[in-house]
Amino acid sequence: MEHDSIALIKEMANGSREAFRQFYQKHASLAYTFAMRILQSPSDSEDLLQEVFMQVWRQASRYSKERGNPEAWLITITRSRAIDKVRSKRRADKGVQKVEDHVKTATEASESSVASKSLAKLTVSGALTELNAEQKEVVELAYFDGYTQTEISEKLGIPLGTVKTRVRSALKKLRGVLTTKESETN
Amino acid sequence: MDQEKWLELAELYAIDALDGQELKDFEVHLAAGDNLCKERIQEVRESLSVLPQSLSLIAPPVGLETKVMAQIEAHPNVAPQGAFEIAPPKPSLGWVFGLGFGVLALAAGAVFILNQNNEQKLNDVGMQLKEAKQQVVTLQDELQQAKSANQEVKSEFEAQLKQFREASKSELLTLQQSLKDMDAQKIKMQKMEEEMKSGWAEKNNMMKVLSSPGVKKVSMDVLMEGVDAKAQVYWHPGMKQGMMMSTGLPEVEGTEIYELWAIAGENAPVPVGSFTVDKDGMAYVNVENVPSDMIIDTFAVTLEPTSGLQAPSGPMYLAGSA
Repeated sequence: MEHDSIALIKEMANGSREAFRQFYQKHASLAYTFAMRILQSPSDSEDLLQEVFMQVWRQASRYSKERGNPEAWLITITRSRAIDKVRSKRRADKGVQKVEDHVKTATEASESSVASKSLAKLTVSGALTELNAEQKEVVELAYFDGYTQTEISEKLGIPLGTVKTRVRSALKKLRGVLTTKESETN
Repeated sequence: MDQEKWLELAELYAIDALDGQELKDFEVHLAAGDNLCKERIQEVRESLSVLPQSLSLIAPPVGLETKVMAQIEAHPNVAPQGAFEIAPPKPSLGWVFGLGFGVLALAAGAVFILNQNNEQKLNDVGMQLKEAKQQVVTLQDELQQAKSANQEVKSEFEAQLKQFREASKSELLTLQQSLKDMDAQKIKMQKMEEEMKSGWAEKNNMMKVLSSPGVKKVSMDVLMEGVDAKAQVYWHPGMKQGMMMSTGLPEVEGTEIYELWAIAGENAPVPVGSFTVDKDGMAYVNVENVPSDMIIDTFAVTLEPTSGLQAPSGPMYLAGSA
């Protein structure tokens, strides 16, 4: 599978549109699902996917395995662009929120926010279920929602040091899961 | 800061959670070349790539593939020869490599990260610039369309307004004319009404006179040769009022007019009524302006060249003794 994708990237680098089409068909669902999880919007995700695959096409010749396997490379590109967008949107929403705060009670705003988020979230299974609730929470906030460590600390009302500890322990566990899976595959 | 601390920051950096001064310090450290950190970043990113794969997959919208393919059609991808190289398996960095190789690797790592970052940023900026340009073009198009639509609406409105004004003006003129006509008609009707009232009053008065017991009928003889006429004067000597009726008198020409005269003895005739006749030679004329002390013994009709004469000058057509 991975070798197939590498071969497709090599052909893309030489200008093969057919290879690009196959690469798209193979990985578009993953990239779109990931974009949807971060952006929570079909139209934004669609736009993002176009940008991502344009970048894949243009940078195919610069791909190397050091950038990760093809799927990891695609996921890194997708996440980088999606996080930029979601952070930019969050900055804009902050301005709106300030205005809304004057007309809504804190309780109403909080309830509305929680309700909309829970509706929009996509289910994550697999590796993330290996984490405890606290680890899972910080990883989701950082990896899927694009919050920085300081923002997570403020959002959860916990010290910055605790955020770092939880992130680190979560990542250590995830690396362990990956290593185990790779061993099982091999 | 010890290596362990840098590696901790590398993990946070790998998921873009690092911020503030720590982010700046770490980027400087990374640019200086720390393969262990670089490896850790790579390792974390690759590990976390399993997370999206754990999501329940959603198929992208139908038609997106066509859009994406159309996009790349517009951007041919011709790679320089030998640009694509699959990197060999990652060498295990450590003491087995000599110091020289370590220095080279660190330098190469720094250059790689710098290049990678710069390249990524350039791509991002380029993409954002392209999007911004596209948005500007779209906005310009929309603005132009809005202006054009606005101009069309304005022109149409002005044309309709002009048409409406012209129609209104024409209608107003028609209405004004109608109003004038109606006013003229009204005046005419009022005049007719007054005339009718006056006529009725005269007729009533005359009927009273004619129905009074003292009325005398004076038959007029025709004195003009070739004229076949008949005429009578109904005269009330007490009231000094009366009426003459005639038929068969010839029509007058130009300013000519018939004049009825009252004659008392040897006194000069007094004009007591002027008249013309219709095409049948018929005429009705009231006997008016008879002096109160005049005792009439003869009525006569002459044809005068014009009205208002105080003495007869024309030929006598009729005469009768009262």
